[in-house]
Amino acid sequence: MFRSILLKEYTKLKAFWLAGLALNLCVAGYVLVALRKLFALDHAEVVWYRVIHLGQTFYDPFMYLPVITGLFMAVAQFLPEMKNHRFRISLHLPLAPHLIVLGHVLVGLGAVVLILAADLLALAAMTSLYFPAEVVAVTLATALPWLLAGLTAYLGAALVLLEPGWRLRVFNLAVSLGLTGLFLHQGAPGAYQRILPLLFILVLAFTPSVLLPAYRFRYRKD
Amino acid sequence: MEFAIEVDGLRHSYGKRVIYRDLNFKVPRGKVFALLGKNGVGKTTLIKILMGFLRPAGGACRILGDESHNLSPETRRRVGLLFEGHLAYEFMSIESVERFFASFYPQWQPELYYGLTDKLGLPGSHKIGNMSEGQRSQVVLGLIMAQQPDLMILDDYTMGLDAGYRRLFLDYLAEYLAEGDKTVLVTSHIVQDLERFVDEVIFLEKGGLATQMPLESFLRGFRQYCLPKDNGVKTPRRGAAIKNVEESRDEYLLYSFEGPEAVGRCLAEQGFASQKLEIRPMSFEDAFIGFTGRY
Repeated sequence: MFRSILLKEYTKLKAFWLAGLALNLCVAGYVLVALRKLFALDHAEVVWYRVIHLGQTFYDPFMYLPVITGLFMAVAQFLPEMKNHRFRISLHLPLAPHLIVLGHVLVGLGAVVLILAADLLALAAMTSLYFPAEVVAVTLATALPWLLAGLTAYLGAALVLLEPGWRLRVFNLAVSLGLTGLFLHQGAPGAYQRILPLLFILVLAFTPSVLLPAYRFRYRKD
Repeated sequence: MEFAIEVDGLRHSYGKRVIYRDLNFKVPRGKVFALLGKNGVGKTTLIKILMGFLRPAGGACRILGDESHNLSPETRRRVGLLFEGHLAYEFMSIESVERFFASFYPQWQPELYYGLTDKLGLPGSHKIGNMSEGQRSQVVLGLIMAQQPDLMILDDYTMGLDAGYRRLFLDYLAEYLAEGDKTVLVTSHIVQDLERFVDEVIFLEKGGLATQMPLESFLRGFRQYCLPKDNGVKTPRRGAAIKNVEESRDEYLLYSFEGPEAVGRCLAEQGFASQKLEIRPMSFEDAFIGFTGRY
């Protein structure tokens, strides 16, 4: 039964997932072209100096892309469920409500993670084409919190969309914005490297919070 | 006697607006019930409570023995819900939605589903989102029937359906119900359709009063009386034998469960001559409006 929930959500999301993946690959392509341009316009040692010593980043378009991807997938997944309260169909299925909700979130998160993993691979591959392994490591350490921001954006959007009361919806929005913003505020490339496990735990801890609005939707009093 | 639905001292309010103070009714198993009432009497609220998507402020609402807002998965398996607007997974196809729901219900009967959807003449890969409201209603009804629930709650199944699809829906439902011991609670804005297959009616009135009776008793016992106007300024009042009074240009229409003598006496007490009082036949819809009032 749980597998059926996963299959249903996969059916719903596959077209949106492909669209999201295409968008991300387009941005990766753009970053690659921009990177080649950097080396075409300047000597390689100048570009290396700027990236390694001055901390310039050539992959800025990746910064907000995971957030956009997370929001896009959450809206694609949960907005139709909220239209005419269609989510009631799923919540009436003979399965524990938390399994139903977590099944939905698992598929959505999985879809976002797969796209963001493609981003990470693309970024690692293109960085390693022009830079040494140390730069690849710093680049990935810089991009990983952005990818985690994509996950919090997905969870936050789900939290907002599933919440039936507008007051708590505003509260959820504020919490989600704050948490997502936290992942995007690195002072320098790789600044969050040492606290990456903590940030990962934060995302894991945020995940079950989606149960709260879903329960409020299921067992509401007004 | 076991009841499919038990509503006992139900209370609910939205802020200071009280919807029900003490609502009571019981739905025995194996019958078809219509929940009727004018707009604004709390029908939608009651359906939300019965479907388990609203927790009542007080009292009890039990569905097959479970609190409606806390149905166990096993009880949910025995309850089929049709949501207003024939809600369905629009991204799924005729075949994929059947496969999806079949995995949840051990007693699933695909032939009941396909018996209905095959009549649509659409390929199994046809998406529900590309269907008309009428076609979607057949898919949704097919899914509920294949589920083999003990209790079906059908919320305004007529919404968006033309006369042909309404008839088709009811014909299939009646055929399905004839074969088993199923309980159905149905609401509809087109009451005349219900006359063909409903056993009992529950009238919900403002303030949370519920009147429950067999449809046959209602149709036989509830009467419409016509009293020509006598150019006086007074209007007959409801109360005692008179359930409701409606006024047209030339006459008063009085509605009552009582015979002509009792209604005549009631009118006489109010100062009206009742010699011209006559019984006028009425349809189920007329009787419904007479019972609940136009406004």
